[in-house]
Amino acid sequence: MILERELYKSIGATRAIAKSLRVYFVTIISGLIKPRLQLVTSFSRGLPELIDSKNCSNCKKCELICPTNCLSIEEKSDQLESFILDVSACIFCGLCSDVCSPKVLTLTDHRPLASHGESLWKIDLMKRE
Amino acid sequence: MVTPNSFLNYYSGKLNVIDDSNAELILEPNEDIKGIFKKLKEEFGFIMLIDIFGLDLLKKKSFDPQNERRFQVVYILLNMEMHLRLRVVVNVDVEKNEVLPSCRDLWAAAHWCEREIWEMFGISFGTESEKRLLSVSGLKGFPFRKDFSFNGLDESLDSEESIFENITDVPKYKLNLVDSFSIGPIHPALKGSMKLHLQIEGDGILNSQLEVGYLHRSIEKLCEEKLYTQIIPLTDRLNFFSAASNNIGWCKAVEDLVNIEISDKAKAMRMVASELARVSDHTQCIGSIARAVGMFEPIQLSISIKEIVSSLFERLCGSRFNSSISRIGGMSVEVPSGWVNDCLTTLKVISKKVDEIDTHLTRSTLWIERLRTTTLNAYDAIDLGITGPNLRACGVNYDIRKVSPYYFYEDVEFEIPLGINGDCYDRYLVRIEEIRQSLKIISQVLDSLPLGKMCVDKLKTELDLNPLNFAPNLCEGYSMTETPNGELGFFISSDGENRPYRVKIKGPSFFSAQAFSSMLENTKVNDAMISLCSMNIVAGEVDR
Ligand code: SF4
Ligand code: SF4
Repeated sequence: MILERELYKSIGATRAIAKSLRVYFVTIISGLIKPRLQLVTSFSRGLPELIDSKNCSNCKKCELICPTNCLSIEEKSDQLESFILDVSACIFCGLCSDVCSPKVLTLTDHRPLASHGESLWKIDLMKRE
Repeated sequence: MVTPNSFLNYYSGKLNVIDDSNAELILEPNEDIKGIFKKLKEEFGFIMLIDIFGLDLLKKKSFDPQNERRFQVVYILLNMEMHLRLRVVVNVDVEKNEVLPSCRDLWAAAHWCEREIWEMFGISFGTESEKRLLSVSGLKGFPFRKDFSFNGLDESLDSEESIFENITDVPKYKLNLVDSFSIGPIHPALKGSMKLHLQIEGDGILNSQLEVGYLHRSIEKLCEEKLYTQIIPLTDRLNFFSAASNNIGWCKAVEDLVNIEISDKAKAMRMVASELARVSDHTQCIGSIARAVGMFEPIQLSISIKEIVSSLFERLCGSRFNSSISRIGGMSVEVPSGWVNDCLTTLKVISKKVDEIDTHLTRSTLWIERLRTTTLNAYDAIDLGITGPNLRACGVNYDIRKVSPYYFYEDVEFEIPLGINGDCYDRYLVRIEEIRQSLKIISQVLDSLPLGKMCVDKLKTELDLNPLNFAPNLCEGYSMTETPNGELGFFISSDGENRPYRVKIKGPSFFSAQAFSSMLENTKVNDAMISLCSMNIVAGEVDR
C-alpha cells in the first residue's frame, strides 16, 4: 500500500496518513464508478480490410510498400485469386491503405491479439468481405 | 576573436560552404589530421563533437576503385557560438592498413563512436577503439560494409573478459569491502535493455560501466533496403516514448535533402505532435525517477498524463504509441473535426496535473536530498557531446528550436529553462519546466492553426512523391531536430535510387549513455538507479 516509510519522512506523519487514506478511498470509489479500461476504441488503427475486391486493380502497390512484407497477392489470369495477410506480422502502419489509389484497402479498428492456432495467423482478405 | 569570416578565409580553398551554418572540409589521411582537429577545436571553437560515422563507397555509382579510397569517415563538429556546423570528411583505405588518429583526447565523445566504426566498418583508430560495442562478440567480418555476408559466429572469440581491472590502490583492510556486481539487463523503468556493471567499496561506487547493445536491431543497415517511406515505421522504434518526434525528424531530414517545402498546416501540426511527444516523454522520465526514489503519487500522475497524451494521439492518428504520424511531404492524416478543441481543453487538465506533480516533488526534502547526486559540469557535458535537457541542466543554453529554428518555432513564444548544478534535481527541474513550455507552444500553435490541408499532393517539386517511386537525386545531407532527449540527427546519403545508400542516426541517448558510464564514480549505490532514470537513456536510441 501507499504507507511507505519514505513518504512519512518527506511530509510528516499526519499529512501522510491523510494522503494515504485519500488515495485509498479515491482508488476504491473510482474503481467502482469508472468504466473499465478500453483498449481498442473506434479511432484505433487495426488490421487492413479489403472492402471491394472487384475494384481492386491488382496493382500490387500495397504488397510492395508494406514494410513487414505481410501481404501476398496471387492472381490467376488477371483475376484476384487470393489476398493473404499475415496477421502476426502486420504492425498497423497504414502505408498500404495510403498507396491504394482506388481506396479499396482501408484500415479497420480490429486488433486481434490472440489466436487458436498457428494457421489462423494468415487470413485471406477476399473471403472476409 | 574568431569570426565566421576568419574561419572561412583560413580554409578558403578546401572548404565547401553548403549554407549559412553548414560547411564541409575534405581531408586525406596523409595530412596531419590530428593537428587540423586540434586547430579546429582550439582556435576556431568547434568544442562539441556531434557524431562520427563511416561510409563505404563500394557500391556508389560514381566510385572509381583505382583512384579513390573506399571508405570515408565523417566527423560532424559544432561551434556553439557561431552556430556553425562543420562536416569533416576523411578518406581512408583499409586495405593499406591506414589507421586514423583517435580524437578521444580532444573530444571525449569520440570514444564510443570510434568503437562503433571499428566494429561496423573495420576502420581502426588505434587499439583502444578495437573493442565491440553493439554487436555480439565473435561476429565475423564487418557488417556495415557493402560486401558483407553473414556466415556464422566464431565461437572461439566468445570469451568472457573481466570488466574491471583489479583494484590495487585500496588499503588492505578495505579490500574485502571491494566487490563488483551487475544490474540488468532489464531496465527498471522499461526503457529497453542495458546492463550496469558496478565496482563498489561498501556502498560507494568506485567504477561503473554501462553495457549496451542488447537492443541492437541494426536499423541503419535495414534502412538501406527499405524505401524512404518504409523507414517511417522503423523510426518509431528509436525512442519509443516519443515516436512522433522521431517520425517528424526523419521526414524533415528527407525533405531537407530534396528541398521540399510542406504546407503550413502540416508544419504547425508537426510542431504540435512533437511537443505532445515531448510532454509524454518528460512525464515518463519524471515518473521513473519518482519510482526509483519510492514516491508513489507522482507515478500515478505521470501515468495519467501519459494516458491523456496517448488518447490525443489515438484520436489524431489511430495509434497510441507507434504513431507513424508523418509522411514525406506532409502528415499521414488530416486533423479530425473537434480534435483541436479537445486538445485545448485537455491541455488545461495536463497543466493542472503537472502543477500537482510540482507541489508533490519540487519542495519535498526527501526528493531534493535524494536527487542531489551525480553532478555533471558544463565543460564535461559539452566534451561528452550531451545534448537536450541533460545539457541544459548544466546551464548551457543550447536548443535547436531556438538556435536554428525550423517550422514556426521562430514565431511562437517560449523560453528555454536552464539548470545550474547539472545534477539529477536540475535535470528534473528542467524537464518539468519544459513540459510547461511545450504546453504553451501547443496552445499558441493551435490558436492560430493555418488553414489548408496537411497531405497535399501538389507540392512545388519535380520529384515524384509517390512512396514507391520517391528517389532523391545524388546528394547527401545531415538534418536535425530537437527531440525530447536532445538532438536527433539523420545523415542521409542518396545514390539516386529509391532506397537510401546510407543512413546514420545520431541518437541523443547514445552520448548520454556514454557519459553515464563515467558519471557514477564517487556516488552511492542506491543513487545509481535515480541517476540512470534522470538521464533518460532509452536503449532503442542508443543501440538503434
Ligand atoms: S498496415 Fe502496414 S504492416 Fe499491415 S499490411 Fe498494411 S502496410 Fe503492411
Ligand atoms: S493497392 Fe489497392 S488496388 Fe492495388 S492491389 Fe492493393 S488493394 Fe488492390
